Amino acid sequence: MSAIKELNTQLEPLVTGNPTFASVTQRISELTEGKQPNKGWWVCFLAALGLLFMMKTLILYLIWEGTGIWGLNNPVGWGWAIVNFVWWVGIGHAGTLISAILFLFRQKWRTSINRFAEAMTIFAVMCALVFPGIHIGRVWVAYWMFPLPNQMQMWPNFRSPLLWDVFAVGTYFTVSCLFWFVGLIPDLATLRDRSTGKIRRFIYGFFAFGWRGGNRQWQHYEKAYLILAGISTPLVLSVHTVVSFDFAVSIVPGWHTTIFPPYFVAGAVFSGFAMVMTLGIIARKIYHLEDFITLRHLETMNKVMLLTGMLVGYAYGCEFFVAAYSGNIYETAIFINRAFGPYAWAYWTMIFCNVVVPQAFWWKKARRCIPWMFVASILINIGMWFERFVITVTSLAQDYLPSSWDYFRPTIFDIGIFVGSFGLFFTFFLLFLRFLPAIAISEVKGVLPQANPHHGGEH
Amino acid sequence: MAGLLTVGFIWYYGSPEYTDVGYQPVQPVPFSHKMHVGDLGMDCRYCHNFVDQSHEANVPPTQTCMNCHQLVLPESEQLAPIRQSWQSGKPMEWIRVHKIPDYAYFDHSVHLAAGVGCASCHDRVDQMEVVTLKKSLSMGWCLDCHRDPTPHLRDLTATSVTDMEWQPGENQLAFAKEIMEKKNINPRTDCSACHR
Amino acid sequence: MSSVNKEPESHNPYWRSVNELEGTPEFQRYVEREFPYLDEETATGSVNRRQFLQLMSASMALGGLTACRRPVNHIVPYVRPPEDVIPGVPLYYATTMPFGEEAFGLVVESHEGRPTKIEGNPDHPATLGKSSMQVQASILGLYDPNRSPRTLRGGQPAEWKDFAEALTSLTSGLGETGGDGLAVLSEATSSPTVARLKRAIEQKYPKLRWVAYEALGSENAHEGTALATGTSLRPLPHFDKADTILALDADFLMTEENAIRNSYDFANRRDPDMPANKSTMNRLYVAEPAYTVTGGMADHRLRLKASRIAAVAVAVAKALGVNGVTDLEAPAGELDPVWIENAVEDLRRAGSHGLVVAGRRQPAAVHALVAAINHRLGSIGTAVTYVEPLDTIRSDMKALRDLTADMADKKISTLFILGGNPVYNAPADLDFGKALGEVGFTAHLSELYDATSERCLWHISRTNFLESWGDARALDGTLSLVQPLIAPLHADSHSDLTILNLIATGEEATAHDLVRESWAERFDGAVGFETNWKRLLHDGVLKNSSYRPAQVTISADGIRQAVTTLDLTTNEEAIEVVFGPSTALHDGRFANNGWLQEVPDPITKITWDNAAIVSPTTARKLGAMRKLNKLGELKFDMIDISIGGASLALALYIQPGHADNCISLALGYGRPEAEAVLSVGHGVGFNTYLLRTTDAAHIVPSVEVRKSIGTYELAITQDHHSMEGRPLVREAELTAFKENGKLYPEAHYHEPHQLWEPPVDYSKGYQWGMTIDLNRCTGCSACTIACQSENNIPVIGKTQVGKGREMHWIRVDRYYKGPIEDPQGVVMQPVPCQHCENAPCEQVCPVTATTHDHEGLNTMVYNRCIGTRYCSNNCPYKVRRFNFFNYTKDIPETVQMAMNPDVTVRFRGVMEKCTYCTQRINQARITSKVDGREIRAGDVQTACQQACPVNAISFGNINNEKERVTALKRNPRNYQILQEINTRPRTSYLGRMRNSNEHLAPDDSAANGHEGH
Repeated sequence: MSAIKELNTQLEPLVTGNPTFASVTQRISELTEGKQPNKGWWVCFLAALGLLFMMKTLILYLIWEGTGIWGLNNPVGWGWAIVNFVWWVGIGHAGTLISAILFLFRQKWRTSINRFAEAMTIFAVMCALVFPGIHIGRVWVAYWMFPLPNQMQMWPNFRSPLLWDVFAVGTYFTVSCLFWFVGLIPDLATLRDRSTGKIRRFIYGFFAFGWRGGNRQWQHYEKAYLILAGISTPLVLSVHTVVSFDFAVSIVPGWHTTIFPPYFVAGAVFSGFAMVMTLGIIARKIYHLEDFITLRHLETMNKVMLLTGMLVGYAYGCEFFVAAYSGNIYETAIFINRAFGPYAWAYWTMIFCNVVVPQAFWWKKARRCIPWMFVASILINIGMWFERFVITVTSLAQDYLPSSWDYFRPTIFDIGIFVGSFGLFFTFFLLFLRFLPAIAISEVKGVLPQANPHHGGEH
Repeated sequence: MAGLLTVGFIWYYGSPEYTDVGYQPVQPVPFSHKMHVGDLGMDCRYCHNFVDQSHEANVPPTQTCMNCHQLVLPESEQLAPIRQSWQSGKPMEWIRVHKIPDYAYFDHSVHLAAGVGCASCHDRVDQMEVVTLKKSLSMGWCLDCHRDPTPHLRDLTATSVTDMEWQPGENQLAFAKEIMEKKNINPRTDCSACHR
Repeated sequence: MSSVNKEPESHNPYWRSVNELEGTPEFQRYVEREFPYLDEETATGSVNRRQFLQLMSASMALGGLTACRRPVNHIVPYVRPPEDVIPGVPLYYATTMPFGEEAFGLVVESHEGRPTKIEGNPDHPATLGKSSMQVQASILGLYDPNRSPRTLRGGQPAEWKDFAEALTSLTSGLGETGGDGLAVLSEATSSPTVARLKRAIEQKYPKLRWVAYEALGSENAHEGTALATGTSLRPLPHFDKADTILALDADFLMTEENAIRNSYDFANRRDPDMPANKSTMNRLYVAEPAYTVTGGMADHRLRLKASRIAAVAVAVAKALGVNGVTDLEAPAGELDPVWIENAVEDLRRAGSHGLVVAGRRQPAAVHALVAAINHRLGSIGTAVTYVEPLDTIRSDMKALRDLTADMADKKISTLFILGGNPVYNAPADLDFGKALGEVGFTAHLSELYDATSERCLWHISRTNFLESWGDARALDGTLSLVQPLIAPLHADSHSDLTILNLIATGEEATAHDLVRESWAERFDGAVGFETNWKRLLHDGVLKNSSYRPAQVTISADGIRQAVTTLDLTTNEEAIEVVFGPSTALHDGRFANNGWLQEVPDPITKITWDNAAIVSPTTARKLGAMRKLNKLGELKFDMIDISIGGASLALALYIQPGHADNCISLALGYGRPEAEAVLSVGHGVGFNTYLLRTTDAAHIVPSVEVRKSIGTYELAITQDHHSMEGRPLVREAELTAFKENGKLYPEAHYHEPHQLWEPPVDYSKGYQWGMTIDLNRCTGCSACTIACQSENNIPVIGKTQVGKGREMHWIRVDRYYKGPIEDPQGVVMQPVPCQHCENAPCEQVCPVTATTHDHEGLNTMVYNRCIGTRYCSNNCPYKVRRFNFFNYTKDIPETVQMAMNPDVTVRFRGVMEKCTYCTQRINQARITSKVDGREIRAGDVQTACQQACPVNAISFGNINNEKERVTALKRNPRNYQILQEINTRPRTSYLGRMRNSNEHLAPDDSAANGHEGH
C-alpha cells in the first residue's frame, strides 16, 4: 500500500491545477447545470439523433423486406451486422476493465476516466446488442432463442455458441449497468444537493437512493462497489471469450482456432481504450477538463494500447505460423488468401492500423502528443473494425470448396445501419454528458493530495 | 413493465393455454354427427370412405349426401344447400374444424393401420350435435402420443378404429407392447416424421 | 383416362384485415359463435383477463395473423367424385412429349387432376425412365402464365368459330386451284396422325406447300447419308455397343438428338466395374471447338475450330482407307497427327465396336464421311444403325428459304404456321417477318402470343402436350401416345390436329377422335380396338414398333464428291463463329421457363444469359483477359461481331479449353417479345439469330470482331475454376487404379479417436445413404431441375443469382484440370447436402431447427428456423440455401399449380437444403406400414436419382444388402469429400476413371491433379 503511495507521490499528480474539494465538485457538476447545453451540444445531439432515426428507418425496412437488402450471399452468411456486433462489444470492454480490474489493482489514475468509460461501455454494448437481433431472418420468432415453455415442447440448442452469446452479452450488459449506477450514487446525491429546480432535485433524489454520505453508507457503498468489481472482472474476460466462440467453435478455416479467446479479449481492450481515448480527448477539450484528464492519464492509456496492440499483432503472426505449421491445406490457403487474395486490401489496412500505428508509442513524445494520439486512436478503431471484417468475411468467402467461393459487396443498407449505430451511441453519450457527472467526483476527491491523511506532512 | 407484458404474452402464446380447443364454427348445413353416427349408427367410413387409403380423411362429395337424401327428407329446408350444390354442380363449402399447419404432414391411413381410433383425436364425434375441436392438436399433444402410444392402440381383430365407445382394457399395456412388437409400431419423434 | 377436374380440393379464401373485421358487428357475433362459452360473459360484460385474451386471440385468429388455423378455412369436396381419384393420393399417367423429330415417353404425376411432376417412361426407348432438364422443366410450360388464353384476329380478341368459318370458306375457294398458294409451315414432327392428316390435305390440295422448320434441324445428317448411300437415312448410334468412340463436334450426351438414351447407353458401357467378359470400359475421343459435357467425358479431347473438323474426318477416313478418300491428298494445316493416328489405331482395333459420330452443325459431307468410316469399320449394324424414318416431317432450311422467297413475291396467299416462331428463329437473311406481311391469310398456332403471332392475321392458342391428345414416334420409330393430363387451362386452346383436320375436311373434330381414327387401322387385329387402346393408354408405348435397320451400301463416288464440297483449306488466324443450341433453352422455345433460365450452363456456369465464348488466348488477342478467376466478377467486356451486313454486340466470356480463334454463340436468347407476353424470357441474353444466314447457318469461317466499349453483367454461379489441388473430384487411370487402387489427388485421413460413444446406433433400422458416380456423371444438370420441380425450389432471377444466392439444392461443380490456358480436362461434381452423421450445421443452430434423425437424415425444419445463417457458414460443402427475400411471394396462381403438395413452400428468412427427398421416404414408409411390411430395396428414389440419365446417383437404405447403393459404398472407388474433417457424410462419391491411350497419356502432374489457374 505504502509503496503505491510512494509511487503516486513521486509520479506527477493525477489532478493538476491544485483544486480544492469544493472546486472539483464545482467544476464537474456545473457541466450538468446552468447555461448548458450550449449550441455545440445541440448541434452534435441533433446530428446524433438524425443518425439514430436513420438507423431506425433502415431497420424497419430490413425487417419488412428481409436480410436480402444486405450484401450477404451464399458463402458469406455473416456480413457487417456481425462485424459491427463484435466491434461494438469489443469497444464495450474498456469501461468495465478500467473500473473493475484497475480498481482491484488500486490503479488510482483510473478515477478521472472510469465514469465515462463505463458509460461508453454501456452504450457500446447497446449498439452491439442491436445487430444480432436484426441480422436473423425471422426477427419475430427471435424469442425461440430463450428457454420458454411452449406448446411445441421445444427448447433452444444449448450446444450452440450463439446461445451462449445471448447469455454472455446479456449478463455483461446487466452487470455493467449496475456497476455504473452504483458508482454514480454519491455523485447523484451531490447533484441533488446542488440542484435548484424541483424536478431536477426530485429525479436526482430518486436515483440517489437517499444518499447522505454517512459513514455506514460509505462503508456499504465501498463493499458493494468492491463486490461488483469482483463480479465484473471475470465478465470482462468471459464476454469476448464467448463471442470468440461464435467463430472458434465452428469449423470454418480461419475461424476454427484455439487462440481466439485471448486474442479477442486483447483486441477488445485495445479497441476499447482507443475509443476511450478518442472520446476522452474530445470531452477534455470541450469541457476544459485538462486538470482532471491529465497527460499522465493519456500517456498511461497509450502504454496500455501499445501493449494490447502488440498482443494483437502477435496473434496475427501466430495464426500464420499455426496455419503454416499445421500443414492443413485449407487452413494454409485461407491465410495466404487473406494476405494476398481478393481481400488483401482489408488485411493490410488492419495490419497498418493495429500493428504499425501503435509502435509510435514507444516514444514518449508520441505518447504525450495529443493530436497524434487522437489520430492514432481513431486509426486503431478503424483497424479493429477491419480485423473483425477480415476474420468474418474473408474466412467465409473462401472456405473448403473453391466452387462456392464468392465475393462480398456491402450495400447502402449495410453501411447505413452501421453509421446509424453511431447515432444511437452518441445520442446516449451526449445525454450522459449533459445530465450526469462525466467524471467521478467523489473518486477524484479521493486522489487529491488533500485526501492523503498525511497531507501537509505535519505529523 | 413492457418487458413483463411481452414475456407474459409470449408465454401465453407459447403455452397450451393458447389453442383453439372449443372451436365450433357454424356449418352451411347443420349436419349432426350425433344423429348420423350416434343414433343411426353409421360407420365413419361411409362418408369418409378413403380415410384408410389417403393421408386425408376426405369430406364426402355432395353425391354421398344425395345417396340417401334423395329419398330421406327430400324437401327439408336445412338440406336446401345440398340440393342446390347437387343441381348447380357448385361444391359445398364446409368450414374446417380440425386443422394442423401446412408444414406439418399428418397421415390418417398409417394411424388407422396402427390401430389408433378416430375418437383418440376427434373425441366422441358421435355425441356432437355440432362438430367441435376437443383436442389442442398442438405439436406437444402429438408428441405425447408419439412418445407413448400404448393407451391409444386398439386390437383391430376385436374392435374397429371407428368404434366410438372403445375403452382401453385392463391389460391394455401388455397388449399394446405386444402389438407394437408385432406390427413394428415405433412412432417417430424425429422432425422428419411430420415436417417435410 | 385423363382425369380432368380443376376444382381445387381445398382453398383458403382471402381474409380481410383485422381492424376491418373487428369494426363490424358481424365480427362480434362471429366471435361469440366461435367461442360459445364466451357468450354470457361478454353479455354481462364481466370479462376477466383470460377471457379477454381469448377474445383477443380469437380476433387475431379470424384476422389470420398467426401460424395455425387462423383464417377460416374451407373444405371444398367434389360434387360428383371423378372415378379412381382418391383425394390426397396422386395418380400417374403415361404420355409423350413431342420434341421436333424426337419424342420422349413420360410418366406424369397428377394430384387431383393437377399434373405436378414429370418422369421418364421406363418402357420408352428414348427415356428408359430417365429424363433431361427440358423434359423435367416442361411441366412449367403448361402453367406458363403468359400462355395465350384465346383466339386473336389482328391482335384483337376473336371467336374460334369465326376462324373456323374463315378457314373453311378460304380453303373451299382454294379447292379448284388444287390448293395453289396454300402453304403450311410446321415444326418438325414424327406424329403419325399429323402425317395422316398431311396426306389427306395433299390429296385435297395437290399443290399444297408443306415446309417444316427447326432452327436446329437434322438436315445435314440426312443429306450426308444421302450423299454416301443414295438414300436419306437417320443414323442411330448405339453407345452401349461401342468400345471406342470418336465424336466430331458432336455433343451427343447433351445437346444432340436422343441425348437421354445416348447418355444412358454410354454410361453403362463406361462402367469400370463391368465384368471383364462384357468387354472393358469404353474410350472416348472428342474433337470440338467449345467445351461440352461430352468433351468433359472425353479421354482425349482435341480443341479445334469447327471448320477444321472436316479435315479431321478426312484424315481419319484416309488413314482407315475409306474408298473415295484414299487417293485424295491429306488436308492442309496443323492437325496434331499423333492424336489422329492413335484415335484411328484405337478405332481400327475396336473394329465393329468402333463408332464415329458427327454433330448436327457439321456439313453434310462430314456426315457422309462418318457413314463411310463406320461402314469401313464394320460397325454399321452393331455400334450404329441407319434407319428410314416414317411418319416424319423433317426440318428443311432450304425449303424454308424457297417458301419465304415465294411469300415475298406474293406466290403464297394462305399460310398456316403450326407452332414454331420463325419470325424469331428463321435465318436473318430471309427476313421472314417481312415476307409474312406479303401473305394474305396468315394464321399462327402457338402457346404464347409470340413474335410470329404478332405478324399473323390470326393467332390460335395452342394446347400444351399435357392438355391434348396426340401421338409420336421416337427416333428409333417406337410409337407412343400423347395423353392429356388436364383439360386445357384455356378453353379456347386448340391442337394442331384439330386445325389440320379442319383444313383437310372442313369439319371440326377433337384431337381425341382424330388420334383414335389414325390408330384404328393399326389396331384392327383380333383383340379388338378398345382392348389395344386401353393397353396403349396404360403403357404409353406400343411395344416392338421400332424401325427395322436399313441396308447400307457406300458409294465411293458419293464420298469423293462429298469431300470435294468441303473447304479443307485453313486460315488459322481468321476468327470463326459457330452457332449452337443453348444447353438449357435449346433453340429458344424454353425462353419463358424460369427453371431453365436459371440453371447454370454445365461448362460456363452462366445463368440467365448467353455470351460470346472464347479461349483465353483469343480473349487476349481481343484485348480482354483480366476477367478470369476473379471472385464475384459481374462486369464483363463486350465485343462487336459483324457478319455480312449484320452486327451484334454481346458479352465476352472466357472459357479455358475453347478452341483459339473461334467464338461460339448459343442460340435461343434475346427473344424480341415484349414483357407482357414473355415475362420471364423478355430481354434475357443476346439474339444471335440476327447473325445467322441460310448459307452459314452453323459455322461462319471468318468474321469481323472488335472489342466494343462498355461492359455487361453476367450472373455466374462459379467464379473459381481450379480445384486448388484439393481432393474433391478424385480420379485415376483405370489400368493404374486396378493395380494400386489409388485415387488422385490423394486425401490424408486418420480415423480420429472418439471420446464418447456415437449418440445414435446407425447399424439398425433404415439408414439412408447416397453415392454419386463421378465416372458416370456428365454434368447435364437434369438432377438440378428434377430437384427444383420436386421440392418447390423458387426461381430468384438474374440479379439475385449475380449476388450469389442461387437456390438449387443440388448444384454441379465444374473444375478445370491443368493450365487454364490449355486445360487437360474438366470434371463435374454434383453436390447436394451430404447429410453428415457428424454435421457441423446441426451443432451451431441455436434453436435446433436442423437436427439429425435416427435414419441418418440431416433434417431441416423450416418452421423452426429463425435464420441466423450460422449453419450455412459452418457447412463445409456450402449446400445450404437461404431465403434472403420472400421468393415465393409473387408466384402466379397457375405456376402455384405446379407445386408439389408434399413439400412445404418456404417463407422468407429461413434456410433450406436437400432433404434426401424426405417426403418420398415418408410416403414409402407409410405405404409399407399400411401394407404391414418393410420398405423394400428400390422403393425410395430421390428426384435427382430418378431423373439422372446415366444412373450416376444411387440412393437407398445402406443397411439393406439388396440396395445398389449398399454395394457401391463398398466399391474401391468410393470416397467422401472432406473426409479429413470428420463430418462423416452419408453422400459419398465414386472416383472418376480415365481410360487414356498410353501413347497420349497426360503427364503425371495432371494425374496428380495439380492445377494452375
